[in-house]
Amino acid sequence: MPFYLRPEAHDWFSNLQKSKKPGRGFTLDFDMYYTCLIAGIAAGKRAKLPDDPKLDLSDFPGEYRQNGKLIVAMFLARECKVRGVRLDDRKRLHDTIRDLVSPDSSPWLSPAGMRLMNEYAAGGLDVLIDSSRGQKPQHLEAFLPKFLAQIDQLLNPS
Amino acid sequence: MISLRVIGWEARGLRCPDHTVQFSEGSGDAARVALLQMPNGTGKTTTLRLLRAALSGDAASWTPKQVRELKKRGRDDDEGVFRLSMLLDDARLTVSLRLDFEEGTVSYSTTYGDGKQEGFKPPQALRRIMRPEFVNFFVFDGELANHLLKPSHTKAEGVIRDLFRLDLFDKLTARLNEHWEDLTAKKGATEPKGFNRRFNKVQDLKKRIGEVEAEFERVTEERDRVKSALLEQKNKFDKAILEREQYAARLSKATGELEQARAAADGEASRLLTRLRSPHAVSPVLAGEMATLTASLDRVKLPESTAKEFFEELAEEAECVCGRPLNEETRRHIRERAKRYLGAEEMNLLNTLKAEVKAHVGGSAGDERAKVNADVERLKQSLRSRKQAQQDKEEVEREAAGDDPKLDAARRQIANLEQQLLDLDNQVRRYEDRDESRGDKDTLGLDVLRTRLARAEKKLAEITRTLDLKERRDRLASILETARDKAAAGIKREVVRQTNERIDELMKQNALRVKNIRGCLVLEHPESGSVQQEGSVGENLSVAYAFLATLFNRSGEHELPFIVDSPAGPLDHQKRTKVAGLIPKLTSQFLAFVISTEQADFVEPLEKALAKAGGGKPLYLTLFHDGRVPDLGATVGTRDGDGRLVTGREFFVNIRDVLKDEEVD
Repeated sequence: MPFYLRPEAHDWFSNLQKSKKPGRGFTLDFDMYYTCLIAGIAAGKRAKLPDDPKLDLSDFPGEYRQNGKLIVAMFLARECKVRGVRLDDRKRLHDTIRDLVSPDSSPWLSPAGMRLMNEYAAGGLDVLIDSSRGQKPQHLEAFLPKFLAQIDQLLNPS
Repeated sequence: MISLRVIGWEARGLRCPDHTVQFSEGSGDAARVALLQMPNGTGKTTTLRLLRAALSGDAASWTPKQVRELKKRGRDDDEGVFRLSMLLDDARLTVSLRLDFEEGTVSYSTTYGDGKQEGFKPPQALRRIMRPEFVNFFVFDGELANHLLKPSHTKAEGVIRDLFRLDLFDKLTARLNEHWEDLTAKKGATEPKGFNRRFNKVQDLKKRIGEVEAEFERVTEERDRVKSALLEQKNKFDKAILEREQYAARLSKATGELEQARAAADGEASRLLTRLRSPHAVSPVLAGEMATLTASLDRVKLPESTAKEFFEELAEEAECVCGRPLNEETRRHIRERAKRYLGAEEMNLLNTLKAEVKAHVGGSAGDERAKVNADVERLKQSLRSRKQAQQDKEEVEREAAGDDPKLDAARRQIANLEQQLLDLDNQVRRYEDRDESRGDKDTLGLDVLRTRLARAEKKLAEITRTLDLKERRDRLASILETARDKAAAGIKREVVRQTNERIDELMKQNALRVKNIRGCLVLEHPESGSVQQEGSVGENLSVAYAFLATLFNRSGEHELPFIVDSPAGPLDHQKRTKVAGLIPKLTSQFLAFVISTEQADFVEPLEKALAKAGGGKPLYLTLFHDGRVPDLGATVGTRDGDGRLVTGREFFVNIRDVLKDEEVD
């Protein structure tokens, strides 16, 4: 179980976790991680992990399995941008890929890549909490449009 | 078995005649008994002091004044040298002292085995013996005999402790304590106080969890009860309304529409969530970046068409694919360049990533997001419909309640129950709180409390193990202490027994014996049972000889030389004879500094005893300041600076009347 979700996330998303009925809330625990990851990546915000993080989410569950490689590709593309890697710079592209990706492990990330992704997810929770002024999301149907608007704003600040 | 024998020494520029003495006999072996006659005033005390210094290393701590006191009078030498030669088993060991009278310092050098080393460096086997506190027991005088018997001194007990390594028990105890400290250094608590603190923490958490679980159960039961009551009340209310014809149809319709609107809203929300699980659907920016990355990888030809493994295998071949032979340099170059290529598995993964992005993101980065936007619009529409359906149903209920006070009361009760349920839901949620920032008494988060209990139990287990370890350490320390005391008692008993056997031989007519060793040797008269602090001078010396011989000549363990100043001086003539007869049995090597007046009743019995023991004859040496013996021919003995050394019994015995008039040293 390589993914680390901050314990506070369970409390923050508690209203979306009450029901596992489709449409009433998050049906997968990984939805919390993914939502945080997208927020962290969009904001370019990472948070420090504990020394011995409790890795408690299994590897790309449910529908995320088929999207796993897309998530890795999104993470790679974003990290190249953060690192200022020019996409025509073959050597730096090659080095960045070798640093972050590993064919040996199931989420296809190297230990450094996995740690970095977990740091983005940890930072993303702060992004979500800060933007809603501490108000926990109450209902999935209200949360999702707000989340999308927030991501749009982070990625298109103008 | 350690056997140490003195084979000679050399003194130059010191406050004794310059001389070189050799105790080796014709065979090369060290003499078993040697008597060195040095009249008073010829530097006997100086020589003994230098011998002790060479055997113990203690001259390194002498003060400049102490060093300069040893300078030869009447000469202006800048330095003096004393060199002691010994045999450790069959290997030569030499300790040299160089006394710098200008600086007032002494420097040592040691020659053994591998060669000369600066400093006092006795071989490992001798390090526990060649120490100041030990050397005084085998280089001694009459003073030692007194100290062995005086309660104010603990020399007898001390030498037994040192010689039989009883200090090892204390060292083991010290090591045990060090190990314990190492083990517990990183643990928070090592004492019962720490244990109690951690034990109480576990108990407090268990109690707190018990209380919170009970509250949680109570609140959950209450919520379930309210939920059931609400459902029941709603059913009753709906049934009551349906029984009124004017509202029945409207309520049925409104309820059906609300259920449909809810289902539609849930469906839309679910669809949107599912779509958003694809990252490229979340934002066209993310989708665009993924597509750009993929296209760029294609442009720069990543992954390569050739895997790293190809080049690694190529480097093993005799020749390149182009046919040119490969040498070590080109192979190294190929291996180095191979690192620039991805491995086959990395290539496969990267190709799959690219294929996935191409398949899902396609040419237009905004396609999926457009679908998401449509989903969001449908969701909003369904939410509006749901809201409308909810309001329609409530309107029917309000109208019905307005017509019937009973229904109105029931409606208010439903509202009341709904509020209660909301409150109880919120209460239940507090028990699911995962916030770690609140203290044990302030949090209701059961998971938090259980995690803390697990941590507290782990820490308690640690200290429990630590305390168990402490108990074992204490037990082992107690065993070591008991072993040390028992060993000491047993050794002292055996030393007393063997000492008394030797005393029997020395003083057959004398009933004085060693009773026990309590710091010093405790004497008694067994017949009268009275304890005696000390005997006559002769008795004391006899007891000391017996005791020291018991300690320093133990077959199978060690044999050390006895270097004795005035061995017979304090003894009456009868005891001199007996001590002389005992000397070959006392020690493997006996070197004595004698003065002329000690010879009577000592030399002859010693010769006889030595011959009887198969030890040959004593070596007789006479050392004095050259010129002190009138009319002595230049060929007699060996002249060495201001000293003259004469070897042989005849000179030794006959010159005594001349030499006894020398000045006191």
